[in-house]
Amino acid sequence: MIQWRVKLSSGEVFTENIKPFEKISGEKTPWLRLLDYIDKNNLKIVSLSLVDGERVFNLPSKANRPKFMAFSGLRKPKNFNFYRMLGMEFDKRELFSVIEADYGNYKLQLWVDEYHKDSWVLVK
Amino acid sequence: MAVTFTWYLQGLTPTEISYGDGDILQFANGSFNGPVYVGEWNDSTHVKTDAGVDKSSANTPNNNKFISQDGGGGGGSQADWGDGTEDLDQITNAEASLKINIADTSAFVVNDAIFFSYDGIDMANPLACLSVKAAEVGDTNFTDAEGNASALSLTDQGPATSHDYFIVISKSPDTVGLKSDKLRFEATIQ
Repeated sequence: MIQWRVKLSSGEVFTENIKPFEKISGEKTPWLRLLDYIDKNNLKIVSLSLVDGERVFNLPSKANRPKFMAFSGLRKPKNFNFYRMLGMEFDKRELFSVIEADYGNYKLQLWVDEYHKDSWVLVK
Repeated sequence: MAVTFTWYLQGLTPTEISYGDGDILQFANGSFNGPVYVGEWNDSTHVKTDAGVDKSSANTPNNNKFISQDGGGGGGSQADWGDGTEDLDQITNAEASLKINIADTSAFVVNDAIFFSYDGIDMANPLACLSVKAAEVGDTNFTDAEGNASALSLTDQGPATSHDYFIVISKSPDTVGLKSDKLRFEATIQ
């Protein structure tokens, strides 16, 4: 399964399904528990990625040390979001993991197909 | 997340529209395989297997028939779900034809869910010569859920391990001949 990975303003890095954000039957999903944790501790998400084994899909981050010159001086996202998008027909099941960088007047989305591992980038 | 998705045709006993088995939802004239006349609306709803069998025959399946778009109280729609013409907003969850269930072991939220019919090729395109009316239980009026731009919007649901959506649906052919559309549900989950 594709997992989200976040870095928070506290410097903490958390990954879905790894403690303390493992999946627990009957409790909120790891993402909802992460949002509760962020709210309770007055934190912000600094970067957000999707992880599929050794493959990592990154959104632009709020971090201050970009890897390349091309990354410098760019607008930084104001907020981040994660969700899964499902589509179902009688003979079709689709499930995508989506991470989103919100710049205020537009959003950059990265979609990864849970079943076929294809990925797309959208600007909304 | 090991999310499960399941479609049901409701009735005295629900009939699962099995994924991967070639099941379809058939809208008929009161009898299995009975054609609905042009301009008329379905008098029965069935689950038909890939082998052509009426899978729902023993389950007394529900039928939701469109009557009017705005002839009910307060300009609401009207439908017949077995007790004669009634205002659409009076239908209960158990009386709706379709139930869609999404489940997982952890409690997730569902947002921005939509439901629509399309031609099976391009989700923006309705199937030609087929009218499709759909509503969520509690709606006052039907939506012409034909193509994703006209999709029926469904209510957001808070954290739970199982989510049900109850949908009222009725179809009518505009021309003679078999009409085979696709029904699609989309939603975001967190």
